[in-house]
Amino acid sequence: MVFSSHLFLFYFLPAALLLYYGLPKWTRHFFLTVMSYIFYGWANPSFVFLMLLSTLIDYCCGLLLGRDPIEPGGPRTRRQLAALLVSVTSNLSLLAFFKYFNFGVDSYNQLIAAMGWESAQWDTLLRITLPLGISFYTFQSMSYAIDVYRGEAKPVRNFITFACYVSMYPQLVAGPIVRFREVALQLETRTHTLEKFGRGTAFFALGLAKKVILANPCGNIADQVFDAGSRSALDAWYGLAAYSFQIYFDFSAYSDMAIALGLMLGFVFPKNFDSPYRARSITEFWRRWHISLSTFLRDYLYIALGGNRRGTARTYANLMLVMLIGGLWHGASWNFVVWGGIHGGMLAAERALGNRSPLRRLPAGVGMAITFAIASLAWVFFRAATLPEALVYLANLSGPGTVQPGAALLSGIVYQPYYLISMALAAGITWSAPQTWDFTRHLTWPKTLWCAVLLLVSVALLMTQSYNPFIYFIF
Amino acid sequence: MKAIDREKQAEEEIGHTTFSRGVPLFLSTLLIALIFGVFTLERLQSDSVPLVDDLLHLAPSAHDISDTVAREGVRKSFFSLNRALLGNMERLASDLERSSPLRKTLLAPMNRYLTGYLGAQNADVLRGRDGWLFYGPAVAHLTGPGFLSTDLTERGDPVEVLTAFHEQLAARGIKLVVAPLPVKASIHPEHLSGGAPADRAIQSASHEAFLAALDARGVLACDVSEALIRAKAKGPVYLARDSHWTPEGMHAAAESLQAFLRERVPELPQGDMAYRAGTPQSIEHAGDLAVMLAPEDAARYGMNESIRHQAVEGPDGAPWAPDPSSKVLLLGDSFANVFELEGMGWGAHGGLAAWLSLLLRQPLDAITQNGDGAHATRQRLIQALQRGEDRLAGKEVVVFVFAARELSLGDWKPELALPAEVR
Repeated sequence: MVFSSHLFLFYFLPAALLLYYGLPKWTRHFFLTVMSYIFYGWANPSFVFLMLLSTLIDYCCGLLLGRDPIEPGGPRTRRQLAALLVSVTSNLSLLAFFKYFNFGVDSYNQLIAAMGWESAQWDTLLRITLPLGISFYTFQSMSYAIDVYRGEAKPVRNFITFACYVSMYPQLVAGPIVRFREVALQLETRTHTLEKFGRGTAFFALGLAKKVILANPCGNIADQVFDAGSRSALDAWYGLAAYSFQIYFDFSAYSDMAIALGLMLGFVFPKNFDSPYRARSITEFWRRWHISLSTFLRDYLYIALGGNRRGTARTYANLMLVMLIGGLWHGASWNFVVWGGIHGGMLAAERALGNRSPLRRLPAGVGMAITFAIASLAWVFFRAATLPEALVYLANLSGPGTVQPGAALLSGIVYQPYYLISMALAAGITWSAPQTWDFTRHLTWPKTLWCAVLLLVSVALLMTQSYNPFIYFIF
Repeated sequence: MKAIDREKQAEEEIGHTTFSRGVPLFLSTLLIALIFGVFTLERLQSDSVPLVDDLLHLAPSAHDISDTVAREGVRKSFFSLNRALLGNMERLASDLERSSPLRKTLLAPMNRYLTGYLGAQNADVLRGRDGWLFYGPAVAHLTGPGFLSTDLTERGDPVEVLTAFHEQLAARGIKLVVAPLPVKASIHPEHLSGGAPADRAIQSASHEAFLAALDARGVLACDVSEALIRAKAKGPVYLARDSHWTPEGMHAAAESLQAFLRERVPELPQGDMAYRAGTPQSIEHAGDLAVMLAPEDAARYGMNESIRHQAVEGPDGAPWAPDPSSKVLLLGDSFANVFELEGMGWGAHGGLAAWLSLLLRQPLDAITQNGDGAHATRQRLIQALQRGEDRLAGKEVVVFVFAARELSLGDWKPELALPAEVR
């Protein structure tokens, strides 16, 4: 179930809000958890057992961790260390099995076949279905045990409260990744005010508009161009720009709507996007893009690996490793490894150059344009179905190549006024409009009316559009 | 402790929201009114979906569960029950959306502006130039990487399937003629894209390789594209707002097929039946693409178009009808049914089989079915043979026509094979 769906907007959401506000306060977490499990199970009912298992493991680990005193920076008992290891290992094992089993078997078989040992190949009949949102909730669940172990959060005694945190439907399947310590206090006590609900509505309207008015048409262009057998250089650049806008508006729209729904339930989730295409370097880009993932990787992986405390070479290696793992987190494919490698390489290079980095010396607009171009070129690996397809696409970007006759039809599809207007709007909003947090900080009547119009227009479009995918649902 | 800073920052941001007087109440009321209002409206107006009842029946009953467990064991039944539940949930969501009165009200006017004027692709319909509409998946067949270069494991390799069909028919002494019918954008690309050539057909990247592969395996393949391009000089050979051809386009294809049969299947005897074309009749109707954009409302939005339909009559003046005793069997999809099947709205008794029959001057048998051109008619032929109805008795040639997009999109079902003997 996606937020921008008829079922969610007009059936699930009214029921969820009615139950949440209509029933006694002490039942709220229980019903929020039940609704979250229904929301999650709608993608595939069997997946709920997996989430329940992950929740149970971390809940028990939390209880074990709490049996001995925990002081930040103080010593830990063997039992606490064992509990932490069980949590981390089980979560990573679940993630590894469901996300990387097929990839591992396929890669092994390709390697073995290349060496001429076909008889040693594994049977590939067993294919594992990727459970929706597993990358997100295993990280969240694991962050709980780590935070408790580090003394940054207290263990939860009430299972329902913990299950509510892991399964909370607003951010369950596509983030933002909300760490336990970020909502621990809110799970105990939070306010429900008209102001929060009002700002949540504004957030939701803007998020839905970003998704329906901008991300969907840009996605349509990107699909046409990327799925084509061949394309001219102009079409290839146009399609790439469209994909860059699609992934940004799609994912940030989801985050906005997640934050909005959180606000409606009294929760305050942190910002996940901060105008990333206005960054003047890749380092800055990662401070603005999918902030909940980049800070998660920084706090739980980069720092655990030693961060920048173990010498220059180790810092670069850590940056590269973190980005490679970040790439693989998105999906089990060599494309994501290359994507992570490009970003890791850029982060290491910018770190090495420091103030000598050419990007820092260029005028702001030029630095932004170059950073956008680098991020976009890396998106080719993110979007293309296979590594060879990504390389062909990059070749198309660079100029002349064999263009099939069918490519002539592309222009009749992707340069229609609707798509040109959407692209122009997307570019304008990306580089000149305030982002959702800033726009909704001071809600005047003209802004409010904008939100209302956008909400109604988005709903009308949503009711009649057939194209409505969410990119991050597959991660 | 950076994350806590983020949390504090977020709290601070939310905590410092300032509103003009009345704004929070207005926004909250708007959302509540919208989501509850649409829900209430849909429940009041819905003529088909008793929601609570459907929700209660989503999960399999205790009886179904015990039955499945007894039949399949615990592990297998878990997955099959899960599949059943998932199917029920998807159906419910789709029913709710499809039956939504608000959606029904908005669909046609929204599509009129978004697709009709601005060119947005919706419901698989693409807006072309001069009021023309195109079927998106059919265009993707032409712009895509070529159907032979994609993974054919699941849907079957059309070359292999057609070769096998050819061999199975050859074992019965019957020739197979395959005719992939070009999609509209192949023949009228200039109505989709200004930069596309108007004087030649645009084909899939795999088109030539496909025809060459069939030729190498001895399968006769008739490409009617050239005939359609030639006929186009006199006027459109495809309907502007339908995915099918015009009567003129169909006539050109029938002539091309007749010439091909005469040249490549010389053993097919010349016919002498005096079929004749009836008096042309004007028919006005909304094309299938127009209906996809504006269900039930296409005419209201001016999307009807008219054709000159000519039915075929037999020597006795009766409307043309398939004849199981003929030497030719035509297997065809909606391209064969249009102008033949009354239900398609473009007239009856004047489809491809009828016109081919007229041109060959002999009766024709036909098995036709809209959709699933890759396998549906072969499947029906096999089913007929299996139940003892020998549709191949006395046949010299089977002409298998299907929309060329099936080569990219169709399920070729490699497992389908003619039975060795008629029971």
